[in-house]
Amino acid sequence: MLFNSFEFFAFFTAFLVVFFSLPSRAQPFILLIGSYIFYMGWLPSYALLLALTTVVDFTTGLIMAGARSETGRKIAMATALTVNLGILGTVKYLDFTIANVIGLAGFFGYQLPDFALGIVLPVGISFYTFQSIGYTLDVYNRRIEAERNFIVYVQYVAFFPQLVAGPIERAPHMLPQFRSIHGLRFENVAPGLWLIGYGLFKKMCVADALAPIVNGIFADPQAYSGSYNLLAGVAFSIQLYCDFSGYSDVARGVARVMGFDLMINFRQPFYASSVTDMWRRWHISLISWFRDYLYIPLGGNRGGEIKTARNILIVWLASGLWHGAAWTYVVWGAYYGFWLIVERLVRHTIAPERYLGSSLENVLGRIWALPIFAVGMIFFRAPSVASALTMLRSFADLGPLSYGTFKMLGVPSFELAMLGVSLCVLFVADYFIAFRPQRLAELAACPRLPFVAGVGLTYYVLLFGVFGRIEFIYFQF
Amino acid sequence: MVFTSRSSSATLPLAEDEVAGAVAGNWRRPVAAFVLAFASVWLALDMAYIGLPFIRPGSVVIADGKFETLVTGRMFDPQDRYRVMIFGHSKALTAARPRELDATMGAGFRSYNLGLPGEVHFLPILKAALEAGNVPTHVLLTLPWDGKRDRDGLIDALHNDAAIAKVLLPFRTLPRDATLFVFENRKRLIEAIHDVAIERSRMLEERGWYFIKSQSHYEDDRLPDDYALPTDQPTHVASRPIPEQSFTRTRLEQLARQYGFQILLIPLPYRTGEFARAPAADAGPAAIIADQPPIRVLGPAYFSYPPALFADPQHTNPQGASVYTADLARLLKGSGAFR
Repeated sequence: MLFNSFEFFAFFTAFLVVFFSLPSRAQPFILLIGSYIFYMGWLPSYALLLALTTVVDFTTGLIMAGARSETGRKIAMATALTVNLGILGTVKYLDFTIANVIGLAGFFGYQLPDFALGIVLPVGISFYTFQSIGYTLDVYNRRIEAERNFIVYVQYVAFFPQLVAGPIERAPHMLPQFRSIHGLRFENVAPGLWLIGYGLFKKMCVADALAPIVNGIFADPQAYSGSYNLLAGVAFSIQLYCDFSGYSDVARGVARVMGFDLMINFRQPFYASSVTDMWRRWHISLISWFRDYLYIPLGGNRGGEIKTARNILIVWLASGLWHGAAWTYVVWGAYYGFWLIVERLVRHTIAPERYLGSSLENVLGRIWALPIFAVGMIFFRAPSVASALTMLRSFADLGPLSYGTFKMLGVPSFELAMLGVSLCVLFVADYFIAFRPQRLAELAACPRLPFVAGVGLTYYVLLFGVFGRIEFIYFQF
Repeated sequence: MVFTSRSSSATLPLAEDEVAGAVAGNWRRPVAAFVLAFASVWLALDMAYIGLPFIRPGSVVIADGKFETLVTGRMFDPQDRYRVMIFGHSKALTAARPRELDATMGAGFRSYNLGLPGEVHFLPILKAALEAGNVPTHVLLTLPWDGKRDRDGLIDALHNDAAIAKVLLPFRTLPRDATLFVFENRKRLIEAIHDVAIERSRMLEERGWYFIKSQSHYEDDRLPDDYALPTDQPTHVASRPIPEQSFTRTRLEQLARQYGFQILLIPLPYRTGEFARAPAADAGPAAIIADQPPIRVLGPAYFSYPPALFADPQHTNPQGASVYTADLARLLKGSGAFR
C-alpha cells in the first residue's frame, strides 16, 4: 500500500475511525492488526518473516533480561543477530554472493553454471531488521530494560507508518509511546496533515515529475551529452531527496495524526555546508544507527586519525551494502567514505576556517558539497559501475541542453514549467524550515493563513501531482 | 563520522481521562473552515472547466464531440446497408476518412471513425453507441483487444489512481489547458475560441476523421523524406498479436451475437523505416479467427507509407489519410465481408 495512493487514504481513514472509536484498551490490537494488513498488502507471506523477526528478538530480549551469566546474555544476543542477519543475508545478499563466486571462479578458469535463487526481497526488511537489531543491542548493552509486553513489542517492529522505509526508530523513543493511550487531538492532527501534505508534494510534484528525466537518461547515458548526464546526477539527487524525505514526512505525519512521534529523518540536506554536514542531514535514522551500533563499537574517533579513517570507511562500506547487493552501492559507500575522510583531514590539519572565516567557509563548503554529492548519487542510481563511469567520462564534453530532448523524455512544456515552480517552492520552503523556523511559527500563528496555505497545498498536489502509483525508491531496500 | 542528535518534538500521547475531552476539543471551526474553502475552490474550478470548453486541447474537444454524437445523435440512416464503425487510438483518428471510404465502397455503405486520442478501450464506446440505438453491421478494430482474462474488479478500480483522480477532480487539466491555450494563442485569443468550434463541426462533418494540426511542426504538414527517429527499427517486422482469450473479446462476441455485427481487424499506417515493411497478406483471403460471430483479420499487420505522408512521427497528414483510406477500401472490398 503506497502512501501516494487513494488506496492508502481509504485504509488510513477507515483505520482512524476504528482506532479512535473503540475503547482505548483496544488501541494496541487495532494498531497491530492494521499494521499487518498494511504490510500484507504487498505479499501476505512477507508477514511471516516479520513475525519471525519479532518473536525471535522479543524472546531473546527476555532471555537476556533473565540470564544469570554474561555468557547466557551473549548467546541470546548472538542468536538474535544470527537469525536477523541470516534472514537479511539470505534474501538480500545470497544471489549477489553466488553471482560473484561464479564470476570469481570463471576468472580463475573454473566455469561454473549460471545459477540464481531469484529470491524476491520482502519490502522494508532492511528497515525493520535494523530497528529490531537496535532493540536487541540496546537490551544487551543495558541501555533499556527488555520489553515484557509482547503486544507492545509487536507494535514497535510493525508500526505501519514507518515499517517499510523508516525512519529506523529506537526502542527508548518508541516503546513508551506504545504503552500510552492516544486520543484524536487537533494539536496532533493539524501538524500531522501538514507533514502529510508537504511529503506528498515532495513525492508527487517533484520526485515523480523528475522521474522521466532521470529514468530516460540513466537508461541510456551514451545517447546523451555530458550536460544531460550531469543533469541526471543532479536531478536524481533531488528526486531521491524528495522521494525519501517525502516518504518520511508522510510517515511522520500519519504517526502524528494518531498521536505518535517519529524522529526527523532529513534536515534540508541541500543547505549543508560540507559533505560531512550533508550526511548529518540525510537519512539521519540510518546514519545515527550506524554511529551507535557500528562506528562507536569499532572505536569511533578514539584511536587516532588512521583508525578513525578505517572506521569511517568500514561504516560507509556497510552503509553501501545495506542499500543493496550490488557493486554500485559498495562504490557509492566507499566514495562518500573517502570524501568524509578527506574533509576530516582538511579540517584537522589545515583548519580552513582560520584563513577563510566561517561565512566564506560556509559558502565554499556549499559549493563544494553539492557536486560531490551529486556525482556520488550517479553510482547509487546507475545500473552498473561501468555505466556510472561512462556518465562521469561524458562530463568532459558538455553540450547544450535543448527543450526537444526534455519533450522526448516525456516532460513537455507545461510539465517542465511546473517542475520549475515546484523546485522553487521546495527550496524556499526548505530554506524557511532550515534557517527561519521562527518566521514559519509566526506565519502559522496568523489567523486564517494556515487554512489558506493548507487548501493551497492540497490543491497544488491534487492538480499538479503525478497520480500513477509510483513506488518510493527506498522500498527496494 | 557524521552524526546528529536525535530530534523529537513534544510527546503526544494522552492520559486516559483526557481522551474524551480531546476528541470533542477545538475542532469544529477549523475543520468547517477547511471544508468550506476546499469546496469553494472545487466549485470554482469545476465551473471554470465547464464554462470554458474551448480551452481544452483539440483532441479532447474532438473526443467529447464524438461521444456526444454516439449517445445523442443518429449515426446511420435506415437505407444504409453497411453500417461501419472504425475504432482505435489517434493513429486511426487521423488516418481513416469515412467520407472517402464511403465513396469508394459504393452506395449503402456508411462509416464512422470512432478513433479517440490515447484511447485503446473500444468496448465502452461501442456499448454506449449500441445502447443509444446506433447499431453497426461491421466493427473495424485497428487495435486488437487486450489480453486481460478478467473484468476489472473493485481492487483494480481502487488501484487506478489516475482514473480516480479524473473522477474526483474532473477539472484537473484546467490549469494546463488554460496556460497552454493562452500561451499558444496569445495574439489571437478570440479567433482561437472560434477555431475550436470550427474544428469540432469539421470533425463531425468528416464523420470522425480529424487532423491533429497542433502536433504538426513541419512545412506543409509533411515530414522530410529522410525523417527518422532513434527509436526506429527499420529491420524489425512488428507483429499484430491477437490474444486468444480475453474478457474484452468475450464481451465483444456477446454483443456481436446480440446485435448481429461482424468484427474485422484492420491494419494501421506506419512510417516507412519505423519498422520493416510487413509481409503482404492483403492479397490472400482474410484469416478467420472465429465463425460465430465472424471475426476476421484483414491485410498485413500494418501499412507502410513514406514520411511525406505523415504530419508528425505517428500521425498521417490529410494526404496520407486519403492514401490509407484508399488502401483500406481495397482491403475491405477484397475481404468479401461486404457482399
